[in-house]
Amino acid sequence: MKILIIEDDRSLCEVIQQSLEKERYIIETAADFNSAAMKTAIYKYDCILLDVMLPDGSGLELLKKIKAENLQENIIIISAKDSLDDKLSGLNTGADDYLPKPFHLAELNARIRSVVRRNSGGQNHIVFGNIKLQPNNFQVFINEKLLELNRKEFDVLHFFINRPNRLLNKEIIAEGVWGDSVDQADNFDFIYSQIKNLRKKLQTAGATAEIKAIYGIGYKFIEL
Amino acid sequence: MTLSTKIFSQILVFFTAIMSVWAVVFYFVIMNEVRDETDDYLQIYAQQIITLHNAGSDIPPQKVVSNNSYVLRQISQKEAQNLPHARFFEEEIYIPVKNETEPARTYQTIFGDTEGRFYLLKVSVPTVETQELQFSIISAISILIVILLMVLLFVNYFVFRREMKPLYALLKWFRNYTIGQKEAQTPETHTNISEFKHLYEAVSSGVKKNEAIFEQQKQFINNASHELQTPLAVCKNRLEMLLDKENLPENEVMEIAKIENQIDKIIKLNKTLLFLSKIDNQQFIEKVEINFNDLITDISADIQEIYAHKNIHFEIENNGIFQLYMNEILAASLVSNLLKNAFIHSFDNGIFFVIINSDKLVFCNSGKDSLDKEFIFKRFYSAGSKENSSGLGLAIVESICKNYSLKIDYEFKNSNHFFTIQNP
Repeated sequence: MKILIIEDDRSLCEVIQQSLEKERYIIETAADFNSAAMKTAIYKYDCILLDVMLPDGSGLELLKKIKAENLQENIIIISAKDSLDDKLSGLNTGADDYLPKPFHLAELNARIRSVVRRNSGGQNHIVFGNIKLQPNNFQVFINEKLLELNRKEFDVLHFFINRPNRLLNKEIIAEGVWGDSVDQADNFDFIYSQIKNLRKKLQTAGATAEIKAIYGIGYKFIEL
Repeated sequence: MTLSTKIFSQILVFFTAIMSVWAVVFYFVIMNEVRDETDDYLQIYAQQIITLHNAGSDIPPQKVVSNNSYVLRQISQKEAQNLPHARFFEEEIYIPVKNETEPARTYQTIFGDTEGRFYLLKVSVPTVETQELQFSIISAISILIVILLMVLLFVNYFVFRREMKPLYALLKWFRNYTIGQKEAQTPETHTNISEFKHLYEAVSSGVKKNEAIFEQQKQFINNASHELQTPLAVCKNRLEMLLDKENLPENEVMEIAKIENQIDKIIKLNKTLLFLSKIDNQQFIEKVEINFNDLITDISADIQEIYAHKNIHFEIENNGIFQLYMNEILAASLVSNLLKNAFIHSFDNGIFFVIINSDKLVFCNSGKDSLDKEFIFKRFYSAGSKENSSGLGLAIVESICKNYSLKIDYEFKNSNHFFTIQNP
């Protein structure tokens, strides 16, 4: 899969590139409006990460241009301006997702996967090991056998299955599953108890993946 | 005390004092003049009698003119030597016609005739008329003072009201003025009074300067926060990549995780500051009808789960439907910040009640000490410095309330914190 990163900050561009290359994507980069416009005109990408503020133009303008040429790329806007206006006009112009800076690489990865999956059509489930998760009807199958999960357990599994093989600390998990209201929590026992139950259920059902605790920092979803 | 009361009471005091002094002086001058006239008259009268008497003519009988009277009697030489030659005095005289005594002004003199006999002559004129005159003068002066005072106050009142209009207009403008609100232009006036012109100019330029500084400050916070996003993203993502590396020793992973934690805190802080500046810039425009009863129930479910370890007794008391037409994001932020605040700052096993009435929301939770009402809504104020408290939650709450003209109050009663939001 080929991804174009349009980002003027070299350091950030480099980290994103390294992180995505680890996922075995083919990465191209562009640091300004003109080179980005040229690349999108010549090549075809599966996904474009687009920074809104570019030194010689607005990312939103580029987005309009790409959409006007009726290119079928998946576009995720990454912006330092976490503003609703930008988000709305971006999504209205045809962006597939909007990710405010600063973000987690794991989060970016998850967004790329879900955008590509959404737009590739047909496949509306996520598979990891022998686990199959269907986001639209909140069902999880292990070896094609339905696994009963409560709402929070499903959310936690959904969060992990979108971010496999990544070390996720408790804060990220809490924020991803419980939302912004957790930001001042001083105790993450509530995550621990949900994950404990989920692990037990996965194990009993014979899943070939597990949520592994890492040194009390967080967890990693890995295939056995 | 208003300016008009102050001015009018001063006018009243000074004017009354000055007029009183003037009235007293006026009265004595007039009365003195009257007495002098009387005395002159008495002297002339006495002189006539003496002349007539010494010429041997008939003296007009006393009773002809009832107002004037005289007594003429012969005295011994010795008596004449002991008595003063001439003097004026007040005395009670008997008036046979009226058969009563009346106060009178008397002139007493001693004279001798050609045959060496001495006489004592007393001529008197009743002072009743003088008393009447006194009364007339006093009442006339009093009426004059009262009328003058009324006219003065009346005229002053109207002049004051008309000429002070620009001042009151300015005060009214100031009452409604809040810094940073675009629609509040500088005040305008069409006065030709130079003091007011200068005052308006001073206020206008002061306001413009303040607005500019305020705008700069807002811009600075906004820009600084924005500019921080990218470097923060780079730091965070590099640490993340480091953490994902295999075969990293445990203690190093722990250290990196701690650094990442701190960076997350900076990111959170930065985001919150941006959020605050967006609220202040009124960038949340879309509004919908929000039912706070449902909103509080929804948000509290998650928060309760997060703070379950504190074992706080939480209850929502629905006495009415609290509904507002406002932005969804801001409504959620308002509620979640107040709920979080209470959960964070309640001690373990404490209580937390949310009471919803149709016109107000009350958040009541147990606490140890009263918070400082003055600073509690200020940015970065945190009592007892909780490690995970940003010190911005209540500042956000206040900002949102201000945006929607909601009244927020804090009180500490019976070991409970009360946060009340009132819809006026």
